Amino acid sequence: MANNPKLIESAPPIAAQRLCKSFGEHIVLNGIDLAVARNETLVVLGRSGTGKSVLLKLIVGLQQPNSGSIRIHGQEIAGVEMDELSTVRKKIGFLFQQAALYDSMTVGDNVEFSLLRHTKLSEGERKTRVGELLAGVGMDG
Amino acid sequence: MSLIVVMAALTNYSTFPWRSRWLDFWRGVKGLLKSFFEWFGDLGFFCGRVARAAVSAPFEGSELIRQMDAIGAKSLPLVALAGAATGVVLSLQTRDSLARFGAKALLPAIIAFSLIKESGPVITGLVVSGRVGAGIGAELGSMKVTDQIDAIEVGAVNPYRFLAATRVLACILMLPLLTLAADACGILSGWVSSTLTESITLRHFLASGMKDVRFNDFLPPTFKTAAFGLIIGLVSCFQGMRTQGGTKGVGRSATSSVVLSSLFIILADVVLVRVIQVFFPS
Repeated sequence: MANNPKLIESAPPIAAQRLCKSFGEHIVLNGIDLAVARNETLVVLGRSGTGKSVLLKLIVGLQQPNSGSIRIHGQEIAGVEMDELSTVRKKIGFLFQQAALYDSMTVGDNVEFSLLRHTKLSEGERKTRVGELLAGVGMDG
Repeated sequence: MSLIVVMAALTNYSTFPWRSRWLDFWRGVKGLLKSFFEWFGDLGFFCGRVARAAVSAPFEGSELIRQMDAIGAKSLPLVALAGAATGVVLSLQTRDSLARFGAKALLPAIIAFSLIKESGPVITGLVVSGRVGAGIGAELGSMKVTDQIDAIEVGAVNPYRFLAATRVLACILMLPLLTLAADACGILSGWVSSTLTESITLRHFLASGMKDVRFNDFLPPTFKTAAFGLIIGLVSCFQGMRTQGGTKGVGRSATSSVVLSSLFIILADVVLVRVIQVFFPS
């Protein structure tokens, strides 16, 4: 699919319609409808194995739904190729259960990883920014 | 009526235990065949993604250089040692046989041809598949089970480009260079071994060994190791990035990366030797 994602800032940040996901015979999500408005905080609660993580992975495009629609700022992301999702993903913050830091890098390199790839900052500016961010959580750059 | 009784008996597995065992065996074979074809199908999709990521911007130049250092420069001592050992063994083993036929003067040429055309490339491929294949399988496997690969993807970086394409390209580029090192060390150690038994100058040894070596003897076997690099990189990255099952899964990925890439290198060598003979006759 060669569509170029264009985010509509006025559209709801997250909207899902009739979302279905199954693994083999096991149906995890069956027709989920969801809309999260700007500045709204939504908590998804449920017992283990009820599909909370699957729902989040569908929203960030780590898994594809069997059917249904997921829109981030109005942009459909279901069925979109990995590279085309980049624009959408730059708008999303995602914290994994196990933190998922790149353990072969220092903390500073972890923070710099996205700055290096998604900004045009010079090396000095990047280092300054990393230092500021780490100082914000009480760590030395 | 009797037909119904026979049918009922046939469906009663306890009456005919061999039938139950046969059905279990058949289910097992079907499962294995299904996994076999699924593995190749998944590998095909993986190759497509890696190829697309490798030729599209943004390019991960600094990561590629880092991988070339990790895969190439850090494998050099092991590859050089393996090449040197092969040169010594070739010299020791063939000297007596050649002396028996009065062809001892051919020893330098036999060492050079054997190393350049076959031993050097295959030994380099197998040594690198052991060292690098296990490393890539374990590293990517452990990244997979700790969600680091998903984190890279969520961070709007294509993991097929950042993790797989860089490693595959580094393997393709470094294998021919490592093969040159293995060949050089093998010929040099072959000379050392020869001259310890019967004194011969290095200049004479090289002149005698290399005088009949043509580009068709040297370039195709050296560059076929780029195909070995492709195999090592693709198989190891594929096995690593599909790891499941925690630390046990990481161990399985590391082992299967080495086993499968070594197996495919041996099979590819058979095919490539024939292809080289057809397209680059000596």
